[in-house]
Amino acid sequence: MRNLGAGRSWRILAALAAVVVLAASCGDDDSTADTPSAGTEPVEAPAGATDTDGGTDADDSMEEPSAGDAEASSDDSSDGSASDEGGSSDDAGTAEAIEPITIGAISTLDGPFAALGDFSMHGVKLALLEYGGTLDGDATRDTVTGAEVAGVPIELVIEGSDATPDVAVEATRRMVEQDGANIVIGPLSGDEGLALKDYIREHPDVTLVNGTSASQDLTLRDPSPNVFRFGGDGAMWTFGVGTYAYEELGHRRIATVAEDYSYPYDQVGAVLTEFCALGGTVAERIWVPLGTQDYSSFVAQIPDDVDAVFFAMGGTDAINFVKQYDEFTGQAIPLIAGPTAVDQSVLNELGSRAEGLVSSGPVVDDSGLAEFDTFAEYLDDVFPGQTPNTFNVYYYVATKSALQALEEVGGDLSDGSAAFQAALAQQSWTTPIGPVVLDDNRQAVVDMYLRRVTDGAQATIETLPLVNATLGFDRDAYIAQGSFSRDNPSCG
Amino acid sequence: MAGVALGGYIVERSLEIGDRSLLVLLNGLTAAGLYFLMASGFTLVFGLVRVTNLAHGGLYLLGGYTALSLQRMTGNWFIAAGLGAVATAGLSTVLYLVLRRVHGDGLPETMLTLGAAIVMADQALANWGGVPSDLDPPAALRGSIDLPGSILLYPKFRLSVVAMAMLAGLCLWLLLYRTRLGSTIRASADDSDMVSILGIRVELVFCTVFAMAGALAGLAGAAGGTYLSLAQGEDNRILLASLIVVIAGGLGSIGGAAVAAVVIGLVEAFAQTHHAIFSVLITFGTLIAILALRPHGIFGSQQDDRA
Repeated sequence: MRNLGAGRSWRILAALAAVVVLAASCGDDDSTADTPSAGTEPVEAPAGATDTDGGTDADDSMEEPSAGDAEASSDDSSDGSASDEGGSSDDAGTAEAIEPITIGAISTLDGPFAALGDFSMHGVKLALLEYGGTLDGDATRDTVTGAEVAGVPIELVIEGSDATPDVAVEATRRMVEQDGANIVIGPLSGDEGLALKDYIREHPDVTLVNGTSASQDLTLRDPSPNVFRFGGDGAMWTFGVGTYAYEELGHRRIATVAEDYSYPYDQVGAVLTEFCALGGTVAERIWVPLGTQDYSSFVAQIPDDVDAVFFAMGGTDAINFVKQYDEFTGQAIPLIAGPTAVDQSVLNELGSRAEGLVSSGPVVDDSGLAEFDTFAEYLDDVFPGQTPNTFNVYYYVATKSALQALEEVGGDLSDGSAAFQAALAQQSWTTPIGPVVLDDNRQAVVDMYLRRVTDGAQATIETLPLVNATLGFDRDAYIAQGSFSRDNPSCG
Repeated sequence: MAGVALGGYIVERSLEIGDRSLLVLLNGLTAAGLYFLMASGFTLVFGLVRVTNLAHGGLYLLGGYTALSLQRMTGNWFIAAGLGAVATAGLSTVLYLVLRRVHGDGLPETMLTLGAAIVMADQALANWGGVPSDLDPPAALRGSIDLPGSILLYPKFRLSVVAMAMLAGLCLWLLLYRTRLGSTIRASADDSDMVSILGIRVELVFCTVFAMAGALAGLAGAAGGTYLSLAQGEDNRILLASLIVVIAGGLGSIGGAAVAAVVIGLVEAFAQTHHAIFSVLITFGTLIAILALRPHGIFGSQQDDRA
């Protein structure tokens, strides 16, 4: 049956196929981005739930938050279903039709970090529930309705990216320019944050409250006046590890293995800055492509004569690396972990191999803070089975900080959000992971924890109080040394 | 000539890294084993029905995930991998039955397989979620053995992947060259119309080949899901790797797939160890070099252009 021309066309076909696959694999995140339905569900959701959110694209959701809805929701407000925080009065809500405030939340709902995107949205929704909102449904893209601050109804718009900067910018553009988002919460990953900073700079009346993007230069260098970060950056999250490795663990010479992009540069940079300042040396810096599956060839490059190996990876990469490092060396040389590599969100998958790993990071399970325990209970109440991790805590803190500032200004976003942004910069409260205040660049000064994986949870070795963006070094000198990179700091 | 250049490269690097060369060699062979399991089925299908089956990566992923679920149920790796391979063989057969409708029409066929690949990836995400996971190796293959001359060990399971690929290669060779079914398959690849005229149901032969390719991909998924891990996007990664192997080896040639799998696997392992930044460039560079010297791949032949 084969037609006779087929023989000649096979070469063309093969070439075409190669191009298609190449494109698909280079942007393999893109291919999943085309299909939001599956990625939006929480991992535990039964497969049957797929239909419920199948059509939740930007185009659908943008029809909802129109001015017409405002009347209905402002009627509700008289029932006194406002927040338990008490807070300011109803005097701002005198007009008949109050323009609602739109909060846009963005995280990685597709692609390799889809699971982390689910956690982030839990955090956003928890904060809104505290302000009288109710969950629309269990799926990740189901929003929260009915929340209000100072009598002003709050709309939530949810958008997903796939951890690539251009998709994140596109999604944020939809939220800001079509849905009219006044406040954007997010994004999740480092390079996305840098891209959104540049976008949001052109929209000074819109406020970006960072989720978990841990890129240093979101706030450290060339900050934008409408970008706020209520958590640490990659370097802050790694604070104290270099010193602990040198002084307490007695390591003098280490190797590092990390993914080859900005966020791991920050982690390795922070560790080496401390470690080398004390006199330690680095034998080898191994950079692996993001998304590497087979680490055997990289493990082979680790010199035999180092005291420890610091590794900085996220999600799947961390799981693969630790497993293979364990198989290849039996952990003959001890590992020291980067913050996300042993985040609570992956500890389960790492299993017993992670036991005993030392790291620094924003969240521990035994801090003993009343705020933490309350949060953990609250989270488990609303989203059964969930436990605190960097993503749900950080998105919660970001959203709640924004809502508190909104409350202080009575929901007033006039004059390009000037009053709101000023109030946001002044936020100072005790979050589930400790006190937070912002510096002049609107970057948080927060507690970090030196921690060790014990029985599958993060146990505190030491609390590192009020870590700032320059890790306690002289600010000008620290900034002058330039952004961390493959070979900066030099650590000669 | 490519072989000589490559050999020179390998020798030079081996001298440079001393006692690590054995490790890198084994890494390369492990990767080659996995690539061969994927590429052999891919090339078999292409040789017979001239379909560039872009859903082959999806079969890998689904085979791996099915084996994962079955292992959690039964606790036995071999049963899980075997049934996973049976499942993907079935799926691959279904894919053929759909493809048959547009058979002989190259572009729609390829597009159809691409669509199937996307559906499979989405089903994997919907059923198994975005959190990566992996299979436990069978008890006998757990653990590692010592490599002489360094602190490094070598996981037993990785070695068995090489053995598994060699076994699969041997079985394929026996089947194709020592059985009646094999000669029918080869005859159909050469001239299916003539075979059909001789009273053999060619579609049944095609069906068998698709099932075999599916089973091999499913098996590769279980193997890869054990020593690497199963995650979203793995289907594309492995498809790209096996496509490189198939093209380098010569489309339709099982022997070519075997040789190319070893070449690409070794080059990749050596490149990642010594020039990590350029490893992708070096892998594709090897492909370009092979195609420059042998435009139809290592074992590809002009005869495909008959018509």
